[in-house]
Amino acid sequence: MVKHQSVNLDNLFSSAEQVYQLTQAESEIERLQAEVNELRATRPQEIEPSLTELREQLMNRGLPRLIPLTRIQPNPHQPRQTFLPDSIQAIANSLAQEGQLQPVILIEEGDKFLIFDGERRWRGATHLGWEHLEAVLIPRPQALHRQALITSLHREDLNPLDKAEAILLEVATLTRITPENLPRSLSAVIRRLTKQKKLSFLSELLTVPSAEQQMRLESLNLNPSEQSILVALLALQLNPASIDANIFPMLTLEPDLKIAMREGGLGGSHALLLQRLGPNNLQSTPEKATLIRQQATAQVLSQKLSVSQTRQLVQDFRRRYSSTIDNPTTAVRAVSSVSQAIAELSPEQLTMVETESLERLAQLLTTKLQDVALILQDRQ
Amino acid sequence: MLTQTTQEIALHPRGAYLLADALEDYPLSQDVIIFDCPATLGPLPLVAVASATHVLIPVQPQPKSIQGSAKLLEWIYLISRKLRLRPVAQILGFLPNQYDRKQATQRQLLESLPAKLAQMDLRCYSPIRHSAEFVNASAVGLPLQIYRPLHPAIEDFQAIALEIKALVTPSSEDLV
Repeated sequence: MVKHQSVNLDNLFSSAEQVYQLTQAESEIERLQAEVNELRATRPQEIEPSLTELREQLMNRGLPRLIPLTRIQPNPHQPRQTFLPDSIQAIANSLAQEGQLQPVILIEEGDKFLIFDGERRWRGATHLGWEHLEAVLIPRPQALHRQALITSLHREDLNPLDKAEAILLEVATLTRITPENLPRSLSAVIRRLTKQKKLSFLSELLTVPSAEQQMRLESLNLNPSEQSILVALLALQLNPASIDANIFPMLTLEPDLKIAMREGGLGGSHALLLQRLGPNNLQSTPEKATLIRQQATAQVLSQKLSVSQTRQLVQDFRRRYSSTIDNPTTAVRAVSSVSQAIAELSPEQLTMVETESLERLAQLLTTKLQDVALILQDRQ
Repeated sequence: MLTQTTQEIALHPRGAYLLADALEDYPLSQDVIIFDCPATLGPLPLVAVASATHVLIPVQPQPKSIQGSAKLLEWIYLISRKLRLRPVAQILGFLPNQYDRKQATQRQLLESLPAKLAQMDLRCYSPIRHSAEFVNASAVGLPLQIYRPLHPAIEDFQAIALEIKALVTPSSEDLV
């Protein structure tokens, strides 16, 4: 159409459009819900078309989920209905033979689910000793805000610090784990899965329906709180490993860096690098470290440094302020302790180690040997 | 004065609904009331959305303005839900203003904007042109129509004025 379309309207309006569609869908769901209730009271035999329409609307919003029967409750707000043992037996037979044909419709309330439609199937399934029923959920009013949150989480222009705080709050609410402990639990489970080489398994889960996510997660033998954190993150369409590596670390940033991100437009990766300018690395008091860090931050912002330039700057600062890293005494000590450690490695010990570790050791030694050779060559 | 109002809105138990309550208690005889809102998403536009029947979004055909108006749209949808407004104020559409047809960016934006808005069932009205006389007129506190009755930009208001007139013909309405 135009040679250089400088403005992409689709991008500008993407979030407004999604919220618009969600609001439309919600009004439609509300309307159908009221219609079903009305028909229930007046003309129960004509209820089916409206129920079908409602179910379809809800399935447009999200795939059916497997909900444990123990968390499903009859809805006290519905007019009490009688359920004859015969009719429960009949539905149980049908469930046993044909499986569940239609998802039941539930209303999420706290950690329970109230039945909007499907009480007979729920009773039948309980009778059969099933554990789950497939269900679609009628959103609570606050669900729109959650959807809005998800929408903005996936927009790239959201500052990673705000993103971290929003995700933490949402996951903490969903899992009821305190926000202070949550990042640590996530880190622990990610580290363990990395060690077990099962991390890729986790990212594959992003693309499968949530019911299957839950079942596959169960095969990982996680503790309940770890499992609930992963379920919550996956439900937000977020990769847990990337949240652990890139997003949650933002939460531990020093206050001055958080301010620089919010008010000075400091980038997330830049902030994480600058965070390395702490009292330990600089061998100074916390107050002095803060001053040094602020000086470096100001330089990053005023000169608009790239991530790699920032990394260089941080290294320079560390070199300037720390005495340990590059001074001769530490170097002598480091070389002698490594020599001693290598000398003490016995061939018997080496045979007991996995091939992979040996390969890594060989690689390391070869690289270091090259460095040493070069220096010796220079000196000759 | 406005700062004080903002604080009162925040503290008052009926906060967002104060203006709507006031209009209900003290009805005005005008056919149309325009709430001219500051370009923020704070308490003042909040009370306006809660009392309006319709929303008209004036926008400059420039990327930053359009971006802001997209945010505003999103905010209106969310806030109308949050306030449980019944009925929700109907968004009439976007009214481009300060349009300079000599600028390619502006022309391109105005070409693609209507289709985009149509996806959300919103209209894009024909633009009001840019003219220094708007500023001159506002400096003496007059609308352009009285300050320079023969100015060509006046005809740009025709379409939207008729639209609003049609809205209020059966009963009285107010506008943001």
